[in-house]
Amino acid sequence: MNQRQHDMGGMEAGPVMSDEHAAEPWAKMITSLAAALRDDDLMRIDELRRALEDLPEDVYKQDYFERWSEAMINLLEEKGFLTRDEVMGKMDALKAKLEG
Amino acid sequence: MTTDERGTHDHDHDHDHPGTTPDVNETGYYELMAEAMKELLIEKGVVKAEDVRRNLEFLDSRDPAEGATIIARAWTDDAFKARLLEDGTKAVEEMGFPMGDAELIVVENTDDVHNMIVCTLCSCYPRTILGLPPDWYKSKSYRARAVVEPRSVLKEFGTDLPADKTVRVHDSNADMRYLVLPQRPEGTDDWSAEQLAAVVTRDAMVGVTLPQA
Amino acid sequence: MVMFNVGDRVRIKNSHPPGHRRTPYYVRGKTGVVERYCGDFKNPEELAYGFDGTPKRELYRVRITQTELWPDYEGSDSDTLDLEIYDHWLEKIGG
Repeated sequence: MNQRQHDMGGMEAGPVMSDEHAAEPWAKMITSLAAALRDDDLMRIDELRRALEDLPEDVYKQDYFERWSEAMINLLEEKGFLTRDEVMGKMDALKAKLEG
Repeated sequence: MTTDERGTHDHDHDHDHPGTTPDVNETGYYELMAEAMKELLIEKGVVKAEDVRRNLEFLDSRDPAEGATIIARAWTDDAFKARLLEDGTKAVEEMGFPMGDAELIVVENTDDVHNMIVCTLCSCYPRTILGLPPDWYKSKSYRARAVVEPRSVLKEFGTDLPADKTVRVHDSNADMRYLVLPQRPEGTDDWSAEQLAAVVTRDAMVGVTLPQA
Repeated sequence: MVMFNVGDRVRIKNSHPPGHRRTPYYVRGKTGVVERYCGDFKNPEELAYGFDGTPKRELYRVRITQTELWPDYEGSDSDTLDLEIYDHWLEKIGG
């Protein structure tokens, strides 16, 4: 059985890039949204981790909060709270509002 | 992820997706996505805006400088240090740091042992004490290499340990969270707790650097 | 009455079940020593799929020498890797 993408101990990797940047507002917001869902026991951290681990390889390779967001949509859809279509639709609406 | 990968689904709006749906390669795509998710969940009554706000305020209130006060107290109060090493969760709760469902283990650096923390599986980190983890802690490089070549990784942070010192790497892979209690730097015997806290960095509490007086 | 005592030599099962597991790949099949009993916690392997995670499992910190883990380990023979393993992943070994 292969070593799964998230199970990184011992994998080949380059030098640690220690430059860092503060989390963007949207990243902090998504973290807080997840925390609120967990407070109400609507979502467990274990479920979110599992959703992350199950992401397609190309999605998992994205940056941290980006892949978190993708995993959250999948998990929230699984739980019946929203659909990916609804999220895309809402993004369209928000974008139109910003542009128009 | 395309919609056709998931079989049938309900459309409750009329427009076409291609051309109007924001492009993943556009700046602000994930910013839009986060906002969309939040608004939908609030509209649907799944979460309340004030609960998201409250969590955001809590997140923003977390700072490694606060965590440093725990270390400074351990350096100046032997009884507290003993409690901290015996039961980290209870000891930090004394100082107002809630651990929630996780438990805290504080590992002490000594002349013989250096401790280093990693989460190889994801990014478990003592967030209520140190705030959000830095990018490098969540990176593949750190997660992959800290467990197999800790001394090389430490060197990349400018930390060069003697060959005969024991390096303990703690993989924070389940319900425990870890804080390194670094050694108090030389020449600080008459320093106040405030002065001491000022030299304790986040990186020292994760175990990749040593405090400098 | 816990299943393992501090100081017990244990082997981490060399099992590769699919799904959400909190036993990293790199320690499966390796041996170490129980460093402490951490307490009882809900099983994350169940929580991850919406189950309530009970009955709780016993969680232990296991200390493994780095030279046991990596054939070309560069460091002291006394260097260790400490991590948390749930009871159902551990087997006591004699001696």
